[in-house]
Amino acid sequence: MPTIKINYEDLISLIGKSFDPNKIKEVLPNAKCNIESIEGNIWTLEVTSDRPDHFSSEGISRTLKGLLGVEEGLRKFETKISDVEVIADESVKLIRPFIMSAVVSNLKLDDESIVQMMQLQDKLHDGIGQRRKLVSMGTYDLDKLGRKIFYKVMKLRDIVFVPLGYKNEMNGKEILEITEQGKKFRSIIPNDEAPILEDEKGNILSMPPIINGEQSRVTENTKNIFIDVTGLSKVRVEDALVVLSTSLCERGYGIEWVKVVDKSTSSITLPNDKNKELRISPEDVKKNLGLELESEKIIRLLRSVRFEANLVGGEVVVKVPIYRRDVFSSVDVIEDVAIAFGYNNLVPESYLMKTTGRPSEKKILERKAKLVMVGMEFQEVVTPFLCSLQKANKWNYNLGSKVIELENPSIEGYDSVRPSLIPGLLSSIRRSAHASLPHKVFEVGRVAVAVNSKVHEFTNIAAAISDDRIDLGEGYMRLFWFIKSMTGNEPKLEAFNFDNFLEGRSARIKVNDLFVGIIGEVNPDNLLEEGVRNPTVVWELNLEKLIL
Amino acid sequence: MSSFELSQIQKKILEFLLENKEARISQLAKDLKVTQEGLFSVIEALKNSGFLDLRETEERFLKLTEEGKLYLKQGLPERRIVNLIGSCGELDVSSLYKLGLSKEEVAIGLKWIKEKNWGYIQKGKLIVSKVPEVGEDEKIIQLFHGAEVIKESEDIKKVTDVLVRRNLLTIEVKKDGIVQLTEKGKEEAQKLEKIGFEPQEIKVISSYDMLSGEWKKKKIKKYNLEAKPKKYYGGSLHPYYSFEEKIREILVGMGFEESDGPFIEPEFWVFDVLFQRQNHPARELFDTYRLKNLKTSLNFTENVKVVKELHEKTYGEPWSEDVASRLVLRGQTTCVSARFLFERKKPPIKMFVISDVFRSDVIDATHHIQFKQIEGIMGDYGVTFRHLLGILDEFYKKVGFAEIKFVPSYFPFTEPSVEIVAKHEKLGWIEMGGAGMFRPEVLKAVGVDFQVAAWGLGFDRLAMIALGIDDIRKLRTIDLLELRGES
Repeated sequence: MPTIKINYEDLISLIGKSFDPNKIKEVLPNAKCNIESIEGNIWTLEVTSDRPDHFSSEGISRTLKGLLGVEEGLRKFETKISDVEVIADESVKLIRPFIMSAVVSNLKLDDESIVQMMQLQDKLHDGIGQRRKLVSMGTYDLDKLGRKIFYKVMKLRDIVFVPLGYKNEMNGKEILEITEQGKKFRSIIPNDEAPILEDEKGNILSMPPIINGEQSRVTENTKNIFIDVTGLSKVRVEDALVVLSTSLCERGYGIEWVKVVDKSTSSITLPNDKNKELRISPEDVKKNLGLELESEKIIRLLRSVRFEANLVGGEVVVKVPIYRRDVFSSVDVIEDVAIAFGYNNLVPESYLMKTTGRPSEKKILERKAKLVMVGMEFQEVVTPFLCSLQKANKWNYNLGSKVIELENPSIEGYDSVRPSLIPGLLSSIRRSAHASLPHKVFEVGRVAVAVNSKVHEFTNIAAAISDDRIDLGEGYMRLFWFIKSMTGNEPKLEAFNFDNFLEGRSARIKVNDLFVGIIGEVNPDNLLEEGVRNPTVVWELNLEKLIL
Repeated sequence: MSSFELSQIQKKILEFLLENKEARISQLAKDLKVTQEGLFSVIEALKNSGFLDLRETEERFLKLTEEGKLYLKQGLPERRIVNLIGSCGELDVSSLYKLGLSKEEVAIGLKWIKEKNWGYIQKGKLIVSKVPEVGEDEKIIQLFHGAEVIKESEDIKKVTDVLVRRNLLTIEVKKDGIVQLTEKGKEEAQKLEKIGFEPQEIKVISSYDMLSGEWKKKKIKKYNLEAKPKKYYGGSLHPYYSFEEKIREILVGMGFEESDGPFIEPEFWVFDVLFQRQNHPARELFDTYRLKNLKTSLNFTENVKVVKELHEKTYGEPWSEDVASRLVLRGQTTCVSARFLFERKKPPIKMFVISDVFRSDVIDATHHIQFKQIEGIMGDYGVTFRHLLGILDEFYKKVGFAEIKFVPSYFPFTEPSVEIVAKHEKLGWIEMGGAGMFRPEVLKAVGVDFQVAAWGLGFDRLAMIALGIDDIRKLRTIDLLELRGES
């Protein structure tokens, strides 16, 4: 979940009414904002990814106003069509086809509001923007731009402007090579060209999704902001534009939607600013929440969480604020009814159901296997499902199979799925070097390998005995007892050459003509390599195959 | 008095007497290699206990005085005098001095000649009628040739008294005695004979000892109860698993049946069925591990079409089957619930899972890449959000948390969604996990028409609290020292 920082003073000034900080702390969780830490005026909040309108203090203040009773019902925005126009060239269609824009006017900005605006853009970039790939956005001081903005693709060498935060002009190639953003996001755009925004005076304003120009930088003196959102998904472009412009609007007067003219077809696109309408009935609320509420009560509750709600023909017609991009169906509204009612005011209730509880057959089997092992004085250990590729390859004795690797490992040594429980047991023995002998350990756990690119996952049991003097026989007698007590059958051994085991002390285990596992004395060279200081015998069985 | 209270030496005495009827103490002392004096006190005790009769005796031992030793060499003065006179005749007493006898010896000699009636003095002359035979006293002195000490026999007692009076002998009296068993003593001795006068002390009774009854003849060494036992390590279940069993029992007791599914799943079941938008942060909510170069085919998955339609209609974006067929390590167990509903479809349903999930993360005291979730669903036509809160409340009470709170939250697959926080007396309010009512889109994707309450709770946190562990890495310890409780 995203983490954001807000300034408490700024939040209070946005709410427009002073409150005890404790009151704010109390209601924030009901806005799905959890306080992580407070340092002076800076509050760090964990917000939820479904509410991008909560990625900055403006949107949070709007929700809090409702919960605190300062302002209820739908937040209405003054909107009109701007005289600024964006003309989209055909060249963008293959690279970054969608653009939407708006102007937010009559702003009063200060340092904090710029911090919040940048934070909101960052979080939108990271979230629905998928790190700017699907959506990116920029904000500009409108009064430094012309009124016609062209969105087109240019060769990198022809793109020349002063990027935001730099003093000198650079060309597109230099921007990608020199600026932080260039280096970080260059993979999103083609190698030799990039989309740009240019005004009718021929000034290049920005190079989405990489960087804006210094010339139109937003400062605390900026009165009117032009916003551009470009991307690969029209829905997301619109989501981001609506959230960003409605948030900025909390510090300004109104929103002007910018017409986007498709240069080749002359068709015009504008963002949809109609409030979504949903209908819910008291029965819906009862069915979902188990709460009997009158329509009037539902309406009151919904208004306190910033919906417009009216009774129409026995149903509550709900108007959804345009920044609530998370509301898809009536259940989303019903959750808000529950939040407004207060989760902790809902009395937990028992549901009587005729069911029989029982552990799964598999867990019963595993438990039985574990008890047999414990009966033989083995200690259970639990080792990770992931291990290093090197170890996985070394211990993959499953014929014709390949080790499964992770595409995105996060830690060294945990980049592959274990094909066997044995390396885990050996690491337990190594770790237990200071414990007195013998070391008798076992594990019941899952392993997986790929056979012909198909994943095979199964539950194994493996045991190891490490002692001053130990041989295959010590392992075999216990294996024999294990199989006999689990199945009533007696295993047979068949010679099997495996590099990690001593030659002549290594076998496959056969039960009823089915190979179910391996047993062997681990090669001493191998043991020393693993950091094990005593002779060790191991066996491993596929528990599922054994019981079949 | 039981035989156990007899000392070893006392038992030996009884043994000896049982064999020999009676014994002299001095001999016994020699045989048993103890001092006679010491033996007396032991015998006294046996006598007092009624095991023995004792006849005390004395023995006298004779030793020559310096004077006696001189006479042993020279003969008694009276003998020397009569020898000088010879067999006939008489001699002037005064001339005796000239013959080499001291005045004192002459006086002693004359006195004893008179006493023994060997001769008489007449007019200054000693008259000896005949050479007297060797007397008893002289014979006794002769016994000392080659012996420092001789034992006095009864028959010479009279003579020795005279010699003692003459200060030629000294007498040393040694006490002794003769012992024999009383009836009681005999009984005791026979009893001892049966079990052995000197029983073997043993630490362990063997099966042979037991079956043959030999153990009764042996002394079983008392175990030192103060001593620590030898180190021993039996096998045991891992505490992490034992806690899992505890939670399992609670849920089974609440009427839930258990299920599980594969760790490796296509994104379809982990995300798409659960209504997580493709290319959305929700998709990375758990920072999922993906498998390299491996995909599955959704060809035989019946609900692919339904899911595709739901996604495209709601999110307004094309839905990619290719993305849905990528394989991942499941980041939650909710996919198990989805599969369960898809297969079962009939209410009432109460199902739980306690199993592993994976998230791309670091490993430190508070983070891990693999942990367990307690998943559960409750499905029926009448199940509501309040029932969900009810079951969570019941579960946490059973786990041991008296107070829990519900906080609004967000999960793509539930609406309403709730986060559970529980109050711990030391740690304060702790986040326990998420829950909610499955969205209509999810219910449609798995093909059920009833309501489903669902939750996914953190297992490891609960286990850490229950086991008193503050480092998540220790929860799955593989160190035998720790597992044996020795570190």
